[in-house]
Amino acid sequence: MSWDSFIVYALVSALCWIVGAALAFRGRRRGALGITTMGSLVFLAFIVGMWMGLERPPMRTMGETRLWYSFFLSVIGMVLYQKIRYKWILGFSTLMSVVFVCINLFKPEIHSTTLMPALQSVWFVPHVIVYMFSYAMMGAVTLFALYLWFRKSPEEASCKELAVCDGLVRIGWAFLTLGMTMGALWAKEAWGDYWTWDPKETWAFATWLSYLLYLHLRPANQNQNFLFAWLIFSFILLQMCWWGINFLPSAQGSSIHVY
Amino acid sequence: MQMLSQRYRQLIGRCALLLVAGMALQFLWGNVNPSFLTYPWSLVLVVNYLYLLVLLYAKQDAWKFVRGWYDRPAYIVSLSCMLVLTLLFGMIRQDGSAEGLWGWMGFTSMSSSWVFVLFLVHFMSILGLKAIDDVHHWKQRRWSTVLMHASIFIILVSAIFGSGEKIRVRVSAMQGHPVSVGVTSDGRQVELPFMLRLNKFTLEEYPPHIYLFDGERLSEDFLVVDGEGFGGDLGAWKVQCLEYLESAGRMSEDSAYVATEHVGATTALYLKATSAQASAEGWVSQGSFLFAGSTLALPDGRELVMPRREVKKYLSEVEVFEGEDKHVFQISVNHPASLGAWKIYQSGYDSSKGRWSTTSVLECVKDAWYPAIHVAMWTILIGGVMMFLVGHKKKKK
Repeated sequence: MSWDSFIVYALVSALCWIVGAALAFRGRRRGALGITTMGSLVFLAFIVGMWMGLERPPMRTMGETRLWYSFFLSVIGMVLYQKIRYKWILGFSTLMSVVFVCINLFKPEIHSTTLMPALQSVWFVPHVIVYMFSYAMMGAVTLFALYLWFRKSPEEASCKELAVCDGLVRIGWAFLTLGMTMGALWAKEAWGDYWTWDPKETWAFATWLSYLLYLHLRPANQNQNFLFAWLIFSFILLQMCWWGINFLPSAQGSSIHVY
Repeated sequence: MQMLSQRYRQLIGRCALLLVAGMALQFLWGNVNPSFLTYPWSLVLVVNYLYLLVLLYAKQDAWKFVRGWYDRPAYIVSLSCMLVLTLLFGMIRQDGSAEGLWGWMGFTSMSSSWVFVLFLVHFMSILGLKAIDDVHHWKQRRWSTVLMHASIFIILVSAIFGSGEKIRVRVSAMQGHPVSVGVTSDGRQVELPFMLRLNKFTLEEYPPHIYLFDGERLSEDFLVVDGEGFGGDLGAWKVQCLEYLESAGRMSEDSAYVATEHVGATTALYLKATSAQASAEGWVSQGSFLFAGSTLALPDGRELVMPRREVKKYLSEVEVFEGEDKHVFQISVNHPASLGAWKIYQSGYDSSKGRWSTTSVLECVKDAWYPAIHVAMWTILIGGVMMFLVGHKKKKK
């Protein structure tokens, strides 16, 4: 399968996700889950097809990582909807997935089938998938925090709602840790150093510390405004790590994580 | 609440003192030089440091000043300081420049600045006390938390106390010539405890890519030509490969490439390009250090070009002599050779000669603390998986 087919798969998936989100909003849970699952499966079929067509994992370029992000967001949206049953959750996860699908449609950044020797490692696939899953998890918790912070209802977030935030951050942070550790083990095999304070690594460490701080702050801190603001700040750091460093003057020409 | 803010004020004051101390040390001695951390001093220091931590933990009830060293406010303030420093680290260009305020404070080579190292040791010590506390009260803790704290602590201890023992040298091995001296990044020569000899260097390339070139830039689209008959559309042109020579050469007076296995042979394609209005055909080659390259000029002023083929894999077959012993290794990127505390990495080759290179650039790294860090990394992976599995569940009291 080639990139030319993306528009078809993307449109079908986006349509399924949007219909799923609309059904969820109307309280038709089973239908919403069913059709959203279908959309995610169609999207996954494209990723698998690309993998076979490229003869390498589609994880090398920024555009390729966005494919995984859209996919994982849709899956996490479904799991969250099933778990906490808020009717708007699928709508938010769909919105984010579709935004990343649109970016890929207008700026694909997927061309070459080649894979440089350093990327030909057993760690490549788990490292990227685990990171993208974590990013999607943190994206979901950021949306949730924004909703809780700015929703019309004047009441504060309940313990249950905050516990959902904590659970998502905990799992997202566990995956950040797994991704970072896999990256370190990979770097040792490829270059002889676990950690070189490359700009990407530095910002990954800052993101990791920021979410870790949230986890440690949370039990003693009930100031919801502060906690939600901290989650959003952490997500900004995550964006810096993912793509922001490409535009950061201090990182120009000094990163080996260029793609 | 008031007591809590007083506690935070105390801790922030402690960190301010640490900052002043770090700046003073930076001013007096420049960047941290870990060269004194070599065996046996590194081992002596680490044993004493660990003993001190255990002693402080054991005596916390008796020694007033130790109380609260690793309580929640302490690690929150320590984590916050590390976050602020890491953000500065990310925003300041790490070029080692001594210019300006950041250069003066050592923040342009942050990982070896006194401020960063002191805060890292501070963070490590709090984490160490917490890890000891976790192990002491393991029944009341989540296993994932115990594993995470302990393994991150082991990694930090190994990275800091082992930093002086790490040796990294670059070795340029020419085919058939033994070599036993490497060069560090600062140009210092280091004699290796073994001798290397490159038997064979092989390089595999991806199929040629053909682009349109308008005199300034290459087209975004390209064709992958993997043999005769391969082709496709490139802009308004339909391109087809009529002849594919994997190893070819062309004498300067000739216009055509011929198949040859001569040193320096390159890839050459005979392409035919047709559009609605015109057609053209001719040789396209990336060229090599010996044979000239060639492009196909099209009637619309553009050219069909073949940039240098991308490298798929390169591999060195190396003999390593260690005393009476001889080992043979196949070394490629991501597949280093191990020899005791040393690892030998494939780093590069003579890129001007490409697949005809007879020089392989290897990096020899000695990392005596590798086993400790490696085990701790795998423990983190286990801790991460456990953390994911327990997720939001709370530890039962």
